[in-house]
Amino acid sequence: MTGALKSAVPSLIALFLGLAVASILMWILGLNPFNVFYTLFTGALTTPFGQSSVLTYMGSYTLFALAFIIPGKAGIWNVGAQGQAILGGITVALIVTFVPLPPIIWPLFAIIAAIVVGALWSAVSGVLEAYRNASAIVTTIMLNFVAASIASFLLLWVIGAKVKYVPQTSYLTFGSETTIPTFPYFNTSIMFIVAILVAIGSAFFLARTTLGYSIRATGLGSRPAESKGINPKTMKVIAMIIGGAVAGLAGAGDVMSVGHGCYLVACYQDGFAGGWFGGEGFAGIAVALVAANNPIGSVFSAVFFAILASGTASVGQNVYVVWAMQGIIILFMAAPALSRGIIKLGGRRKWI
Amino acid sequence: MGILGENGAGKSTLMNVLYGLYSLDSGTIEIEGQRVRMRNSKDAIERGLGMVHQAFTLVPNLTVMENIVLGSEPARAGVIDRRESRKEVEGLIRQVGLEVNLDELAEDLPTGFKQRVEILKALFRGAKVLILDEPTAVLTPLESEELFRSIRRLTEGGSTVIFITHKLKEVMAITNRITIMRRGKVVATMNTKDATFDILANAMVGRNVERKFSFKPYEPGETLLEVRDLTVHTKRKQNAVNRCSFSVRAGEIVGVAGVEGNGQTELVETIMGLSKPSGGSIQMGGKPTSELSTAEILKLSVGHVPEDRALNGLILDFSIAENTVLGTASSPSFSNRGLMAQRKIRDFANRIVRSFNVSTSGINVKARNLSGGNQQKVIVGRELSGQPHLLIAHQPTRGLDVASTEYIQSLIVDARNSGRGVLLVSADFDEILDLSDRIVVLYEGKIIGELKRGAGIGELGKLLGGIGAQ
Repeated sequence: MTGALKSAVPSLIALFLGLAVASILMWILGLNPFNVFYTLFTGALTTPFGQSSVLTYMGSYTLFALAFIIPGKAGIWNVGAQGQAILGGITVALIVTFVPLPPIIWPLFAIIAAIVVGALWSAVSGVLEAYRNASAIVTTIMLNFVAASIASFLLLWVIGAKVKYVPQTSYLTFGSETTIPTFPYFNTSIMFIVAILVAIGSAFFLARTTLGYSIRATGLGSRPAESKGINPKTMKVIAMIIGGAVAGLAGAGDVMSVGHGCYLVACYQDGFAGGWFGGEGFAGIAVALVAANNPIGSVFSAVFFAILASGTASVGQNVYVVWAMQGIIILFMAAPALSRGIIKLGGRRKWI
Repeated sequence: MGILGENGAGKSTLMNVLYGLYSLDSGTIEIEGQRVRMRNSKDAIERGLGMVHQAFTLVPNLTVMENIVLGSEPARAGVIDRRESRKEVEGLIRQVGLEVNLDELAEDLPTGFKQRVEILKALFRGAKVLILDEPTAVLTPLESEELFRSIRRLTEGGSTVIFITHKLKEVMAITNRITIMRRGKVVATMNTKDATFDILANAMVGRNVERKFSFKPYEPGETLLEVRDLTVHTKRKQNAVNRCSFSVRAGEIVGVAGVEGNGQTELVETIMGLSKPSGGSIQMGGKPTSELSTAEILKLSVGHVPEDRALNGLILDFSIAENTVLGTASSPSFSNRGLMAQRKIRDFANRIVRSFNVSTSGINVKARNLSGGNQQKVIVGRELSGQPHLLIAHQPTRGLDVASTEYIQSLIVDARNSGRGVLLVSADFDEILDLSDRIVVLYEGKIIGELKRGAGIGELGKLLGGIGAQ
């Protein structure tokens, strides 16, 4: 435990520095930093809307962080959680539209389908990196765009969204039998609990299973692993599949947690703008970096980012200050880890 | 002047203090009779010291010329005077006789030349005393020879060279005076002409180096490894291994000798299934293995001590315990339905640490924090505890101190005495001569000769130089 605490120190230092620099920025802009922080935190933590949105964000941030962390343990960069989640989400939409299933089977089936689709989508990048030496950083980013386009196509031409101001799935509604159950008291789905369980499961998987061991061995030393008969290529692909599966789950969770047809439309509407989940897939990378790629740490890191994200609603017109603060904190936190990561990767492969 | 001592004797630390990288706790440094304080390496440079570390500090994408003048460029009004720099550098090269192409990029240079540039860099800054830290560790024998010639030329020209090493032959070959260190203390200083290998070795390790092992009578048994006409092409090199044939039988050590880079790496990698042969066959216990994966080959009771322990042998950020089950973590002995059997792994790691004398505070210490000798003990322990019929040991003692070297070698001899077959690939020719029952010599990918135990270094030397028996 002391080791885990020690590894949290750089993150806490970065957090403090980030808040400090952001305060200076606010002061320069003529705002009272204490007022802004007060509004931010009370908005996120004391109002019912704030609380439920903190938990919702926390759930998807955690899953997106894990989708980055697990492949990362095998030394492969999954920057494509966004695309993997988009396809997971659209899979759920297709199933609700075209596959009539009994109430309880349905959500399970939809979630499993989303997981499989996310896993297959990321497997493409895994195979390309492992067997064709094409950097997953590049292929996953590019496949994000492909995924978004596929989702748009399916939404418009297959599911049949109507274009008014934006494409809308007017008749696509999720009844209560098709949504993920809601957590009592907080008006949010139980996805955040699922996310915590997945984080604990990931930590256990990586530390205690032989497959997790082989994945870590691949990431920390693919040559010694290979010379002892572990196939790093296979391990990279497996790690990508697991990462994509988690992203697919995140996508399904985001869509199925909504509960109302109109929200779903709003989600898709963002998809056309490019950021289907409001960029959560990318935020997940920041969450992972701040958590120093520790699965359990990602839960705590996700809580912090979730507070920032949901607090912005109450900050009102000064919301850009919060965005700036997020950026500054990420910069401080990520810079050492990021530069180390890039040096490590750059030493082993030619950049495309 | 040479500074001789085992790994960890304090040679490098002493020199780093001298060079201002570490501060001293007590005592004084005098240069030309004057007491000096070195606060940092800049002070040291100003006082005419220059140091070449084991790891080079050249900027890879600058030319040799730019690297040499870097940091002390002759400049006119803030603009680097290229012509003037060139003239000065060329003058320096003529004066000291270290030839190097000034327009080549540093990253394209072979190691020996990189080192030469480092030396020139130090001289360009006006170094009168040059400190070389284990300069031959990264060099091939040929490059070492050239380095020695350069050092002689420098000393003839009036420079002082401090040569740090743990190799007896080198201090004998190159120095005028030798200081021997042990456990942080100077134990002896003598003129080289008064020194012998015995005196030096005794002073260095503090006891007689008995390089004798007890061998059981040579009675080779069944053939464990049979390599026939093996040919390997790599991306970089055609015929990296060229129609090699040899075999290893139970109860013998077969040494593969050769100057590094003559196909040893490719040979071992191909035997271990890490790369595929282009021709010929490999059989283990009568079973062809060239189509098998590394994992399948390891299951045929093969132990492999790879060439570079930090790069290929251990995962440095894994604990000792995790490293001891590398490759066997999924086997029934260490796992249960996909879960790692923590207690069994701990017991196993503790057993290796105990029975192979790994000095560490515990099995959860990262491999990175072990000394080279202890890292190698973990690897050899791991490989031998699988009770392999065949042990392939590639440079098993490279860079280790005398005590660790001897210990690892004794383990290899024990393996042979207990009826295992050992393929010992080494560029340390004393090791090859001391341990091997039979020696095959690799030269440019070919086996150009085979020697029996008892062969002299002269015979081996000729083969290594490419002069075959036929």
